[in-house]
Amino acid sequence: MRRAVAVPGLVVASPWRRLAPVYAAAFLYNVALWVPIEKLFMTSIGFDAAEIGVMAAVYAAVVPLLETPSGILADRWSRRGVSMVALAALVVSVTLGGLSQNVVTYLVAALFLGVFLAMQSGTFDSIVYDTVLEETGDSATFERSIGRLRLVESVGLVASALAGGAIAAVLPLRATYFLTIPFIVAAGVAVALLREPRLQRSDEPVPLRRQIVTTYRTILNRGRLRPVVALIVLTSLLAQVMIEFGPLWMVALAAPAVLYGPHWAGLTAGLGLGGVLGSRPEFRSRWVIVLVGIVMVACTAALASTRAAVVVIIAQLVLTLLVVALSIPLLRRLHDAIPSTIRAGVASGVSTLTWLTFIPFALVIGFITDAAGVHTAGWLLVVVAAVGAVLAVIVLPGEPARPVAAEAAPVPAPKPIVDPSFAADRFRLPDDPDWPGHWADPPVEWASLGDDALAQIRVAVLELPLPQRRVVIMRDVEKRSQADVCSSFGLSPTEEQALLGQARGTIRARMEHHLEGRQA
Amino acid sequence: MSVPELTCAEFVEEITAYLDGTLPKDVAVAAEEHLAGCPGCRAAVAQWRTVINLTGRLTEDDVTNADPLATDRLMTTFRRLRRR
Repeated sequence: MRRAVAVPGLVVASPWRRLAPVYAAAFLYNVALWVPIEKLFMTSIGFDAAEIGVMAAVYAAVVPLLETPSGILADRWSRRGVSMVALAALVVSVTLGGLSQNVVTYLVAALFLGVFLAMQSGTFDSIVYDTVLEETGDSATFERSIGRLRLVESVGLVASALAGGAIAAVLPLRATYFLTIPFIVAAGVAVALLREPRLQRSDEPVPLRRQIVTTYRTILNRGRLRPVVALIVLTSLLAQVMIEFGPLWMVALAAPAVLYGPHWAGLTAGLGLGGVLGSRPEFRSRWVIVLVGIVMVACTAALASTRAAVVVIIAQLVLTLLVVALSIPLLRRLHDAIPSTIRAGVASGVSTLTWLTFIPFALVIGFITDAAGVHTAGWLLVVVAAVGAVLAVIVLPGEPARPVAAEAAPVPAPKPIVDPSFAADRFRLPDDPDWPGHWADPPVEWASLGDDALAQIRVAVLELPLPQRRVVIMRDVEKRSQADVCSSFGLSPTEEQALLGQARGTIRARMEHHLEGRQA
Repeated sequence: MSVPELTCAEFVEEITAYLDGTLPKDVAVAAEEHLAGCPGCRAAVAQWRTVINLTGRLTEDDVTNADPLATDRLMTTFRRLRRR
């Protein structure tokens, strides 16, 4: 039976298969068995409170310094490449950390962890966004894809933290570091299997200076982006305060030790579940956003005023869940507004802004907590939540605008018929004295085709960009006429021939490579 | 009418149209003449035919299972192509 190609909406595009390596990698590198015992281990090799502070400063310095430059590098060179370098830095960090006998070595390990965090931030989200755009033609499924990514990340974190605690009970603390390494290496393998989206590749190379200027200008100046960036910074601020300072409330209330485990597990799970919640379409309704805003403010007010441990825990979990949920449609607004060529750079830059805001905010919270108690500091959160709620009601409701990247995207345009299958150097030059434009390296007839020829063709077809793939499937697999294809997709005959020629040419080149071992 | 001469580089750019029989008449004649005297281009055409035949042996399941496509999204992509 023929597939109902001409009935819109019958089948749902899914970038799932292409994103599978991204999800696998995200799970694997979030497996960090050493996290639950890190402070214990640090104390055992001689850290005191002040030196732990120095380590925090090391991150605080390295991450914002490297983040945006590494994002720009990801845009210009390769997002996959930057992810691999990031994972290599993580292996170095964890190995050094596990080998550490003293404070200095561990600080170097922390430095490498900072390099990993800086290089990884913005890069994975950008890969997800551009893959969705490349596979489906728009960004409608981005929220679901990124929500899944957050879920997978938090499952990795929670599972490994539980496992790490258990391992540390039977093995030396160092073992948790070394046992983490195979997971990072496996994440590297997953990233290597990733087919990187090509949307960020521009036709003409942009000078580095101009790209840097455009990236920073976009982060700081773009009118329509400003409230989105401000809201991302505010929501990340609240999430980060919950993760870093949340336990202070427990201490202040002298909460029983038995509540610490569920509290922490709830916060981490909130990071993942918030991602799933935020990818729901209801997060575009004005009334849902208003309600979310009210609940956020109520949660912070509870933190500022309540003395009941259970209420404080619930308020923290709900707040974390909601700010992470809000961040999902926000992230889409951000990515929709920026072209692919500067995507990772801008995403990393926004993350840097978050860091730069968090550091003074954390100092103020620390100062107020010291002077007047954590509940007084809670009123600062009420202010942030209230401003965030108002901004959310302004920014989020309604359908998102069309992605700008889709307009600028170099999806295979029907160029004048150019056959990509034979490289230019297989012909003599146009000024050749004897045979200008004739074969220098002619193709040969393929004598015998092995059993795997068909499998090669199938892979080649599946790897084609979407428009070429659809055209060649209709023409050569379904054996429909040119007129059929043209009318189904609204193409001119010239455009149809261009796409078909490019598709067949690419398949031919793959076969030649397979049979003769030569590059096209 | 004089028949234009094709080089190999020009011929391979027209293979799709040649096989579909959609070349303008004078170019089609030139293509046939070129082929008659050029074993390299005959091999190229033969490779092309092999590719088309093999692709024709794929079933719709072979190439659709992996990637259920939204036709409306695809239409957006095609419309965008046309606007360029």
